[in-house]
Amino acid sequence: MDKLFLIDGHALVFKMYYAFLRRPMVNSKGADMSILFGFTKYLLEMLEREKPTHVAVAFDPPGGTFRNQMYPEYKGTRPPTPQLVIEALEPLTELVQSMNIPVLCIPGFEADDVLGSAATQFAGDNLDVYMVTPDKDYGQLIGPHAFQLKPGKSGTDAELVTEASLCEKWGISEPVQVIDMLAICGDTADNVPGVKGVGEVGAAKLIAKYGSVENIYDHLSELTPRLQAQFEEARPHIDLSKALVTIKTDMDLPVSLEDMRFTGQFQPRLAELFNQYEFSSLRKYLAGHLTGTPSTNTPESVHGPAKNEGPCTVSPISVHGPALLADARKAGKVGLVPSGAQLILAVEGNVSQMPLQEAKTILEDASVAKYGVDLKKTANLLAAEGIALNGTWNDIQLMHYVLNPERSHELAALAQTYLGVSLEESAPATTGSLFDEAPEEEDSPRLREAAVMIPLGDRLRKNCPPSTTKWKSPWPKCWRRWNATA
Amino acid sequence: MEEPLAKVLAQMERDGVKVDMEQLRVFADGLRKELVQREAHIRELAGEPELNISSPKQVGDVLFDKLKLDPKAKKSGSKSQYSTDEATLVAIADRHPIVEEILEFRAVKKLLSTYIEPFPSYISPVDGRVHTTFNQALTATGRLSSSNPNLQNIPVRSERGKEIRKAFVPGTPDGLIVSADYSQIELRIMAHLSCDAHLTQAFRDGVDVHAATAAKIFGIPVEEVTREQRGMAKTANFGIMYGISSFGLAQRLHMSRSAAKELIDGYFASFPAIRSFIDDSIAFARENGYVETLFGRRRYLPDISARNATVRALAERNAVNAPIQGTSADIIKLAMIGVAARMKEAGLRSKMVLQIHDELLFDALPDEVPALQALVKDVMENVIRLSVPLTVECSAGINWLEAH
Repeated sequence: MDKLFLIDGHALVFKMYYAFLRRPMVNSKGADMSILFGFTKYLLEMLEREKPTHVAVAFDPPGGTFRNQMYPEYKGTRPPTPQLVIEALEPLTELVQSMNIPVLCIPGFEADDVLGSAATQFAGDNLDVYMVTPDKDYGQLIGPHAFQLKPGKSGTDAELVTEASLCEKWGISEPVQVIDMLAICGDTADNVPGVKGVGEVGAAKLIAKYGSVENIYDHLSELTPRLQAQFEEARPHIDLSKALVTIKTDMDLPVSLEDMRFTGQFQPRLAELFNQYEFSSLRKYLAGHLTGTPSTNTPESVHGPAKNEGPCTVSPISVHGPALLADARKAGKVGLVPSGAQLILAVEGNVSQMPLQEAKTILEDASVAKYGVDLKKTANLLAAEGIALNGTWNDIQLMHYVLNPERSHELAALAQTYLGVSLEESAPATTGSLFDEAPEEEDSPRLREAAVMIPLGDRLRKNCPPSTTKWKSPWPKCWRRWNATA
Repeated sequence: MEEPLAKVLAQMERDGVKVDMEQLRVFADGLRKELVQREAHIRELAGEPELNISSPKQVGDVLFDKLKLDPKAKKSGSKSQYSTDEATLVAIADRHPIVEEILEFRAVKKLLSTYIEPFPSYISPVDGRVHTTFNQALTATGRLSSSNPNLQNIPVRSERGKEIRKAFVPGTPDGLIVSADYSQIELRIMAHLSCDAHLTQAFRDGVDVHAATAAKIFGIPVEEVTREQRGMAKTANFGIMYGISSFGLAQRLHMSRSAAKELIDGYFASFPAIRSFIDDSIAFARENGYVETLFGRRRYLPDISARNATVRALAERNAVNAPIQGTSADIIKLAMIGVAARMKEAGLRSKMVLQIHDELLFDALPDEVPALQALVKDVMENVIRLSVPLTVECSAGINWLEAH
């Protein structure tokens, strides 16, 4: 059985807008990526989960629709569209099209009309249509082969509305009666006048009993005096209301069913966009789905060998202690991560775990800059062993704190955002062949952490405001001398 | 600046500060006695000899059922009890002496249980000192915070809280505690950032800035400013920095809203530059999504364009406050680094031990005290050249209380 998924892009964009309002996702350039990321992730997850055979996404076009012509006050009570939403339209269109999914955006018509037409025209014995939207207006389109899928908080708890469940919920006998229901209760959000004083429940009850708006007016005398008065008052505009809430199903669509077939193949452009927007956690959806040669436009990544084609992972090489120490001295930098009673040092993709005393010389070497998280803590740990931590400190936690004090400074998240690298397990760290004896118990996650310290530190440093360079220390000589040692 | 500071803080954490346990014990005992007395008194006032004052339910019942202190009070919450939080009680404080007593009781209890009783567990058995941990990446404003124990939280401004300071003593028997405190640093920073001529001049002349503010607002010469007027000006000065509303000011000063509004209008009429500073800060936040301190430390304020007015108002207050608080945090941090550097250069063996609010605390050797004081004052006052001078009050004593 073929499945066509029609997605109300408009509703989804707003859902993402509100979801991220408090905690926007900002990329390393400071641009707000929330809507783009949320939308894309939701879409990808859904595609993976539901595996439709056909997909299309519809957006509301800028400018008005025929409903505004009918009734200028339509949607008049809505606040102006937020800037972020307006700006998201184009990039989203590009993203969706790069997934080889058609984007429908037809001037003069709402997304509802486009999807409604598609659902009506294509649903049939061989094709089930799923309309993905939280909007209750879509109820009118539900049929034996057309369903509504209301998205839940996360991707998983979506509510499926079928003909049966719809009718049972409202006590009506046919989905098309939803139009009548909506005509009566109106819609405050869209500024559609209905019968004043009658809400959803009241409308449902009336329609359940009388079947249609027209029939109600035919039997007006049977209603309570209050209701009679209200319906009388609404008589002049009731037809207009009904027209406004009716979703068009007879539009000529610019795409055919075949155009909407979902191949599961994405264009290389999608990978480029993911890199550009720094959607590293979404890269896993690309694996195996890209046609043509994927572009090698990856962001700065750790110099590790053996990179899988999936997300960039870290694969540090474990080397012999003295070799690493020599490298670090030459490079003038070393990354540190404490591991139990030992220390893991890293430079240029190589790592080495060693007891503290073995690292003493380099730790106390003021010409070698130190990179790590919460170096203060590490320093005190070392001090207890009589080792000083000299050299310039590059503390990941502090650098990110200066960049954004209220975000999490968790290493894994930072590595993802700023380096596009995942600290998850990929392949176990490979050992060099210089060993005489077996290496100590290796602490794989820490090894990976150590490996990203220097690249992450340098990357963050670039983003940091050069605050203290603006400020002239009153005691430059003393300052310099002091800065060189701990 | 954060990384050099980290080194300084590491050292301070290792050094710790000495606490006189005996002193604390005496103080705690005194407090406990006070609690018992107050408890008896409250029970008497309530006519309930078995009353458990720590039970909000029982307290609520007494205040609203028995004494009927607020006819409009209603029960709410999952346990369906009256709200007896501080705000509620403060509002009805003048209706019956028992309310005040309960508030006092709670204050003492909190002091005892939250701050004093846990202290012994923080004292290191090795050196008899308390080693707090300084959190450098925690606050949204850029200020340091400390934990285990949290020293920023100790209510040192209250009468009782001050006693706690007595327990912080030098590490050596004849040593001294030296305290160096920035006076009104935030107000000075606001003067500098807003370039307000009057405020700046007041600081430059070294006059009582609150009195001067009052003089300007009420249009009278400085000598004639009454104590009350000075108090109002002072509350206004600080309130404005934190974005207070006329409602808040009215509450704070126990005046009507319209009177508070008049005061605020008068304030801005006398100090127009501050008005524009506030407006500019908010505008900047709207355009850029963040605000910055003098040193480029940023605070992002996404709520500045929120639809919800309360949420937005908070972001607006932060837009004004964050640059001020942040800059003072920056200055204190830079001063700490400078002090540490100069102390090392001078070969002083005294130690910097704590940073609280706008203050630096030192555990000093008696013969080094004059040099230390001079050095610290010099660094703190000159770490940055602003349009207003930064004054530092620096004194020494046998414990923190004496030194302040």
